Amino acid sequence: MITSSTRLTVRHAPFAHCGQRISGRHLLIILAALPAILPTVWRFGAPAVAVVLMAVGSAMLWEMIFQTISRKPSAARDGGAALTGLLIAMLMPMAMPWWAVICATGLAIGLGREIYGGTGTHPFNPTALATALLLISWPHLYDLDRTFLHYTLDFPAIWPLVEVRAMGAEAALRFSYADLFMGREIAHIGTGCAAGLLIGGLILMLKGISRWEICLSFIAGILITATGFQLVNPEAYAGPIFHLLTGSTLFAAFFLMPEDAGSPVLPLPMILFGLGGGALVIIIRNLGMYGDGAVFAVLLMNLLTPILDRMRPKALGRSSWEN
Amino acid sequence: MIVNRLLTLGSSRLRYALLPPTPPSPDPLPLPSSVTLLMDQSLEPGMGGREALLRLKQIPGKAFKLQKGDAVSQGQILQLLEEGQAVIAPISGVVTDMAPYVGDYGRVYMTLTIEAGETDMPSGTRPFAGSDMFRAAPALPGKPALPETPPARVIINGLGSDVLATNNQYVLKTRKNDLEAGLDWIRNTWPFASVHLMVAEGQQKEWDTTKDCRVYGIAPIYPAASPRLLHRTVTGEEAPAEEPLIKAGTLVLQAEALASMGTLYATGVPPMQKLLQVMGKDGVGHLVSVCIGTPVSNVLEHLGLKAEYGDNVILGGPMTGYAVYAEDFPICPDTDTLLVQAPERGVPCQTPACLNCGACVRICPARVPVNLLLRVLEAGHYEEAAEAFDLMSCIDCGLCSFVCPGRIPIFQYIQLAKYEHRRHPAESGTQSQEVGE
Repeated sequence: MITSSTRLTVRHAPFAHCGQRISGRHLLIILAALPAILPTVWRFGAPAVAVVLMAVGSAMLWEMIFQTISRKPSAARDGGAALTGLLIAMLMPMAMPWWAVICATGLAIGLGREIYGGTGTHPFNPTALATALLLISWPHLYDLDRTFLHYTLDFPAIWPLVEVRAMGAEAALRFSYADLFMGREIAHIGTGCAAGLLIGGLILMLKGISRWEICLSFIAGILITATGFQLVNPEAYAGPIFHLLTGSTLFAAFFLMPEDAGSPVLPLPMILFGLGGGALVIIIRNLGMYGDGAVFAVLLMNLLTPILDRMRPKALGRSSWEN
Repeated sequence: MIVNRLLTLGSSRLRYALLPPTPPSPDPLPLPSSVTLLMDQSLEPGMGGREALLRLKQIPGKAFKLQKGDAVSQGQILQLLEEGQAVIAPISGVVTDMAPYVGDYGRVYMTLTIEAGETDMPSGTRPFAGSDMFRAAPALPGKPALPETPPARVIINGLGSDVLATNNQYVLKTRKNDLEAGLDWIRNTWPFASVHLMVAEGQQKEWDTTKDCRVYGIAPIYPAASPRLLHRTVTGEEAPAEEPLIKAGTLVLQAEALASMGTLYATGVPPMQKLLQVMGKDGVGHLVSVCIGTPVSNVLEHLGLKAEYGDNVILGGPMTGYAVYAEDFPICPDTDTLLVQAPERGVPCQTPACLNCGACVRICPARVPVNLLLRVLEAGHYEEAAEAFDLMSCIDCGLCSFVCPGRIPIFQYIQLAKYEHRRHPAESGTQSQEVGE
């Protein structure tokens, strides 16, 4: 007879855990994004901070609203909405009007996340989705040349990518790689400082949160495609290093492409995912109508993820792929 | 816990607990005043739970070969029904209670309680014979599961069955003669089977002298000692996922099981002392030697450990073990580890949507697409899971749940799905019968 005076709790194995949490992952990504934002804040001051705070706050508010409507328990503590808001702000110019920021976060949270069920369920990167929608709806708000008119700067105060589109590859020579690397360029709030992005990216890759397969293959895709374009027509198309350091290339490499829900998880699919994304960015920049367009590349690759996920090795003891 | 969290690319590696070169000798527990034994009474494949319990109760008491009040002697083989698993009485005494018990996933057992006492040798008891090896095996420490068909190879697992279990390593270090006797039995019983011994990396040299036995050193990273992975290490091939491993000709034995068989073979006396790794809430490990059937409460009392209201008492290790609801649950032949865990130290179960971070997929030793599988399992599509998403390839190591940042009970989903998938043929049979009626 099995009886007991002490009442014990029964649970299911395993009774141990490595300790990682969803909130921890999100917090680490938020921290890793700060080195990229700080140089901009230092240079341009309050307007950049205002946009960041507005985006983070409104994203969390939107999440609360949508979760109340759908009668779901609040997931504000896992930090997903805050992260989405932060990433959206990083892709914005610092002169973004407040209503556009709120609009963008509302689209990202509502259309990008909550309509599918919240954290982890969305097929598209919500940041890329919201930015793409705003880019299509109000392209003039993203015009960097206009928003930087009020500043006197000690470097070419013109958006490098636009300059190269208009003037050809020679225009790229006006920008020194050192300036671009250290963030002395016209760019969005979180995409200007390549050095800061690299620090954050390295942290994320070492911690295994942004998969290095995706990050590095994305960069490889950029370099390969840009080199190809330059070889075909060196006068019209700028070189690979220029493309790597300008626009939101590194931002997309470390923060948008490896985002959990929309990216594949196995090595070979991840490499294909990254390579494809990198190639698309350069194609959109060189042939398309958008100056940067990394967000469109991310969205297009998100579409391919379910197919890429099917490229998986045979499981233990299975005789063929399907059976 | 023994978690080595390497910074490199965020991988967590779980290592088997290793004994020091000169292991501490186990703390022997005095013989208990009463033992409880579990007799496995799987009635028909696919039958389980309440249905099986009812069937067991319907069997008229006369059909049982054992009765309440029967005297039993130490080392006697006890059987409840003509067919079915036997147990060995670990102490002499009187059968005081028999009751059905339902375990996880509808497994039905008969519990048999024996109160210790001076009894005369019951009539009809005969000394242990060599032909009883197969019948006695499941009741021996380490629970050797001997197949009816001769295996092509026997693999002896010298590492743990779970991360904390050190009983096999202890046996390897201290009971060489018993192991040799066990090997002799294998060579006599299955002359054509090859024997392979798996030890922790770097300890092969001690065993190279063992004749006719190939020795392998394996990195002690969980779950390298899982039977299917051992099969792959030895043969270089993978056994079909849907079939039991013995169909591929492989028998995996714990080292403790082999030593128990050796003792029985050499002396004719079944060993009933089980090596047990115990860890209390303070995280300090104890190696004890317990009589099979001893209630958990006796072990805890002896070591001065306490299980309080709401705690988890876990038999069989943190990764694959099971929590029991009562302190009187007995130590079984295959209980290698006993843990007492405070509720706040456990893994709180949550069911958020899968983040698709891929940690489970990358850590899965069986290359199961866990992220895709989980989505079908959540929807309850077990057939699809087995056909298209490699459900049956899972080797039950629990690493997916161990690394999941969302703390989704993936392992639990998989266990349930496997159970439902295995009993599906029976289920569809009853459905067609109902339609026929």
